[in-house]
Amino acid sequence: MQELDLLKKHWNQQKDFPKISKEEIQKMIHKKSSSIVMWIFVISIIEFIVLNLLSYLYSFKEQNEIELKGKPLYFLVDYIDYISGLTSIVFIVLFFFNYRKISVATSTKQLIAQILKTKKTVNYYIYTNLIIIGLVIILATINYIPWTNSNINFKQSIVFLALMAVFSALFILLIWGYYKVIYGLLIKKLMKNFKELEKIDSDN
Amino acid sequence: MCDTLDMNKHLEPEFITLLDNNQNLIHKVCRLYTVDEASHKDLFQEISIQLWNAYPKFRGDAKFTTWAYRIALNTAISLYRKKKRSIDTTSIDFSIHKFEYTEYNEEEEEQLKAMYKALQELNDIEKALVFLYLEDKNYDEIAETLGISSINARVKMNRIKTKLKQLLNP
Repeated sequence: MQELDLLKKHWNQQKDFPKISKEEIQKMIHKKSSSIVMWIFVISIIEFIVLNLLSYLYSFKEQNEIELKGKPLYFLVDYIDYISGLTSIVFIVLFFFNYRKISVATSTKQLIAQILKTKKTVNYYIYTNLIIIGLVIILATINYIPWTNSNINFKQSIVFLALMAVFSALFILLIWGYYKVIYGLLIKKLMKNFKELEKIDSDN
Repeated sequence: MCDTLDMNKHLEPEFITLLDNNQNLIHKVCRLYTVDEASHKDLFQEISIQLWNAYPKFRGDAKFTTWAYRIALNTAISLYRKKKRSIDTTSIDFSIHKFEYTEYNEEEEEQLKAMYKALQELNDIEKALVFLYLEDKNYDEIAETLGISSINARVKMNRIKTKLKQLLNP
């Protein structure tokens, strides 16, 4: 391709770049990085903190201990603090382990894969917590219905169940919206480039 | 911690000299991946930070330039986030206007301008392939840098050439 040869010649003659002095370089290298990895790190830490705070909200076993005893999955409520504490520790360790493995000096494909793997650790943490929160909500709902009472107020129960369903749908929508925004901002470009690299190897 | 700081202090002048001597390499990556001067400087800064952070692990068994190419491209492709600016600078197309074409005749200048414009139409990975090709890297090196197979790097480069031809003659 003749145009490409011409471009190659011109490309290698380029000298019209803004000259950056050694002093400017020295200042630059001590500035804070604003890379995608840095943002993922900060956002992940915030997500860990927020979810840990949330776990305090759903550890309501003290006030509900008497009513819940003998109900199905009671053990989940009984050990909720330990379960959520343990999942937090496991995921935080996994997150730091994956984060430390990110190296900008590896191949592009490996680098993107490692960044995505790190972010996925936080996602799995969030999913695990959502499942726990979901189970606790279901347990609370089961507990609310007076099974042993012969005068079950069906109308009241249905209204309550409907409200719970609406609340859960809104909650899921909120989480979905949050992910759309975060992924749109951070991961979209990485996913696109990763898919492009995979396509190169699978197309041929 | 103190040892790391001391080591970094010791490495800093040596690193700054190396970066200064090879700054054209980084400028070329910036020129390919950004379209305005402010973004060019942002990306230059981010690449410099990434190079400096990775420098203590640079063993010297590879050439500084080979190592720097990889980090500069990886930063542009995977780490750099374009900042939102109040003015839409994409329409200015800095890259084309700022180039010097003194040695070239009018026809060649037009061809070059069309080529640089076509380059901006490529995606991030295609740009990386073209960049390494223009820098005279062989397909093994291109493949290793991107993490794809050597044969596929060659096939992809041929496809990019076809794409560029189509962009030049729509």
